[in-house]
Amino acid sequence: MFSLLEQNSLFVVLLVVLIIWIGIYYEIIKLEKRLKKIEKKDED
Amino acid sequence: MKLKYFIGILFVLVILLSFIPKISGNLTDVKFYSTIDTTKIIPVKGVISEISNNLYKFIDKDGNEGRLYASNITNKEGIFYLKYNEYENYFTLKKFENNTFFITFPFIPGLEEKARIILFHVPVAWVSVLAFLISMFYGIRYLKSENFEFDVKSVNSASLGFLFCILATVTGSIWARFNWGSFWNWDPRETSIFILLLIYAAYFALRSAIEVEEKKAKLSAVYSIIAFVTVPFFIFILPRITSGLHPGSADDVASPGGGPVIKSGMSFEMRIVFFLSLIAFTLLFFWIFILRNRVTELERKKI
Repeated sequence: MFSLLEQNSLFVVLLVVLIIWIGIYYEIIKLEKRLKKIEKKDED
Repeated sequence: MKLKYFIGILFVLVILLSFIPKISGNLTDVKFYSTIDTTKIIPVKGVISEISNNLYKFIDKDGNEGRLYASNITNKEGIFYLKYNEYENYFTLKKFENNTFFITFPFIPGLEEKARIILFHVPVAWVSVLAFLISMFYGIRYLKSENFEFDVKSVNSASLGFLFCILATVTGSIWARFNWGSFWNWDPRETSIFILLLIYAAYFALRSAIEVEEKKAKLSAVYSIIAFVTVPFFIFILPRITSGLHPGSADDVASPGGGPVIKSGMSFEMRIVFFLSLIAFTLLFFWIFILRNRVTELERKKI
């Protein structure tokens, strides 16, 4: 993995983009969880 | 068109325009780097026309002309990987790539393909600054009106800004391992973003330490204003007046005396993609910010 990234420097940028999207996805998952909580309260 | 679809289309465009273009220098680059590193092969986009057997006239994308020795070329246009013969003033072809995509990115020695990080890392850092600014804006509005709606918006913006700040740090750190040799170099910009993270971490610590809602909102609004006062120093001033590894530092060759990142080494095409990415990330931030505000608004109504 490390040598692959070292030899193909384009992959470093792809990895960076991937990390940014993981971060944004994490934020959306958190929002979804909060919405679920609200929905549960609504049912109760 | 709805904002969310527009953001989606914009991001597809940004990703495509960031990865499809090839890196291409010009003949001046090839001449210059041949004196430094004789093994270096530099890609140059250009057009050739035959003069005699195996000898071609080469015109690069910037209009520079040169003589090129090559055999078995069928294409007249594309990316030519060149080496320069200093003594006889001609270029030799090492590799050819049939690529006629209308934009290319500049050849920056030492960075090359890795230069593309600027199209993602910088917009993410920019969004974090914007988010902190919005956090301060709603902090001021809360202090004026004492309306809890503004307090909630201020926190939402600050926590999104914190997330983007972490993303900028992590992505920069990984990139630095492959370009500067280690994950963390204590470059002025790295140091300042680290302090900025600490300042905003203290903001969340402050909020969770106070239980009385009104006191919590008031203190954190005041803190968000003070915290934002430090942001311009850490992001725009300190890294530019000290010498460091980031582009735009005081000792940067491309922009002497320091300056905005866009001034250093970016071509016109790259700048267009950069601003597209900046707009895409900014709109994405606003979209998530609005979504978050809607969720917190619902939570408040239900309790």
